[in-house]
Amino acid sequence: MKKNEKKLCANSFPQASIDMFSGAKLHITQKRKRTVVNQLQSAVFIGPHLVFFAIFFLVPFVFGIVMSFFQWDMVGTPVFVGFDNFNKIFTFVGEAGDTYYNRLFFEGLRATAIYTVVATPLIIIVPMFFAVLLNAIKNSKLRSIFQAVLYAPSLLSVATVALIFLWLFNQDLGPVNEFFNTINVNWGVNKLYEAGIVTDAVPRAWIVIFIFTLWSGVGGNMIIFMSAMSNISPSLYEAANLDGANAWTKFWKITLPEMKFQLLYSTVMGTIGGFNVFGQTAMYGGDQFNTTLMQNIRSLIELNIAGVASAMALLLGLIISVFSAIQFKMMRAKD
Amino acid sequence: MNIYSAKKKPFPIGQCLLILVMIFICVIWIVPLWSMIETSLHTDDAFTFMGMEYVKEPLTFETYEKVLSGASGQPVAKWFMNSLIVACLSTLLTVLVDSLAAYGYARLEFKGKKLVFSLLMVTMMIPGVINLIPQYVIVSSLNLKNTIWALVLPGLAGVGNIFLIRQFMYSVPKDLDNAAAIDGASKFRTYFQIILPQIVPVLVTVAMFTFLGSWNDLLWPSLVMSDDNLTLTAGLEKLKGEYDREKASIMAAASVSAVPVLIIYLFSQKFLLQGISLSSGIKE
Repeated sequence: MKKNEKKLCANSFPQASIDMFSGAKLHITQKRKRTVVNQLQSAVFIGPHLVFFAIFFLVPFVFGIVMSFFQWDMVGTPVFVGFDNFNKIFTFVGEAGDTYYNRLFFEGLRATAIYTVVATPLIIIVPMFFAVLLNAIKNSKLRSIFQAVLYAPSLLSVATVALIFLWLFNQDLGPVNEFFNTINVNWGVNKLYEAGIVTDAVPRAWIVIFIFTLWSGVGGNMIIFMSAMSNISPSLYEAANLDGANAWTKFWKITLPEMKFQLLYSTVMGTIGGFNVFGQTAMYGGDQFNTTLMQNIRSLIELNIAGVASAMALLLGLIISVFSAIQFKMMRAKD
Repeated sequence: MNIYSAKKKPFPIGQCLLILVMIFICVIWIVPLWSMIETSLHTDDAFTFMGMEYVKEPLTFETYEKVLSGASGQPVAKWFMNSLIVACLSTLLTVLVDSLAAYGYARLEFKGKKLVFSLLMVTMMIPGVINLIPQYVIVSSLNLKNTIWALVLPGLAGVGNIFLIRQFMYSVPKDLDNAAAIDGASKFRTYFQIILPQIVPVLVTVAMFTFLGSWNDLLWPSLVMSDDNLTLTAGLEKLKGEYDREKASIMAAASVSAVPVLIIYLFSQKFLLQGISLSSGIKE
């Protein structure tokens, strides 16, 4: 009886009607009771977000796709040009103006791809290694100190991190070259460059970019992997111990397979982040070898070339959405 | 004597080695931060002569004074204040707007709820880069360019936090709401006085990530703000060109940007680490 009372009062809770016996009947009463007031009340809760969502997400999304079929300088009247913007991007030979966009897109995409292909595995494999080491430490106090130190750089902005490494690897006075000079080892990044091991085809900036991407990127995945590892049932390891498995086998046969979800998650998120790379190269690049697509899109916005910029953004977006679709599926499975 | 206590514990050589390795790695991880702060405590003059060893002078806060007073030619103090205002405002508004919406989707019943919510979910698949240029155009046409609102308002369109908060709300027992309803509390009172206190952990997590995201954003402020009115992070990009002359000043500016974040981290590590696990969907 008391239960029923509660349900009638709580007419706005859909889950309350799950009850097998009274469910159908209650549902009808609920519908009748749902008043205009109720709708208005809900609007106050979800309304503010929906307004911002419409202005800064929904409208821009439609607008962005439409804009890539127009030629527009962001001031005058947009002119419909069909697939012309895309043609400009994909035309390999042609007028100087055409090859300009072609180069911006494909060289930008190349740099973006280089970053993604190197950085994504880097910030999965190394954090995995750290997570294994940290989880093996028995003293929990020490473990959390180590964890805190390794995570700290993840909080800093790309700009801060890049400035630090611009200084560390400064050619004349930077501590890294200084250090390799004092111990007389030909090994600093500049030294590698002088020795011809690193050539213009692999600009040294890339090496430093990957070093600081690693420095500031291990934290997040390390935490995710550590908490995943601590959730693996100990009985699996005990069984393996009985079979006489060594640590290596246990890692490959138990730990990794049990972390499937987290590995997939960090791969997908890493790839999405990689394709969006902007700050790392904007702060630490400057030559055509490592100017990424996002940087080129920003340059086009600053030049008010909205149409081609939108077309490039749309193409990059299409590549990224393949990976966000996977992420979406994973979230759906969890929801 | 008990046979077990008599058994001598073997010296944990494996553990010691492991700890040494970790200390080594952590030292490498600290060196860049330490170097940043150490460099900023010198003056620019200490690094002027190329190739010569620089004179080790006593550490000084002079460079910080120089940088924050704007004597180095860039309004670092202004940038810092902008960053602080924008980050705080974004955080407050995001927590308010997103928790309101999350309550709506978790606890209220209204026409079209399923449809709206699925729509929101699907849009999470849309990569931000597609919206970048139109957002820029919209902000310009609303005359928001070069105001702090250009940095605050677009962030409120995000959907991810609503999911996170909504998910967390499901762990709050329905009985609490029902009891409040019997007592005649309105939905707003229930939200403010019953639900919000129950979901503080997730709110803190959302707040921290919003603050960090806003504080660290580089691309968007560099587009919509003029050079003398940037946020600190975007301002640092303008500073990097001056590396030849002002190494200490630049490291001081970098420290000004890093230290507040590191201080927050010291006091709220738990929430941050929990937040990472939460958003990656490990903890249910």
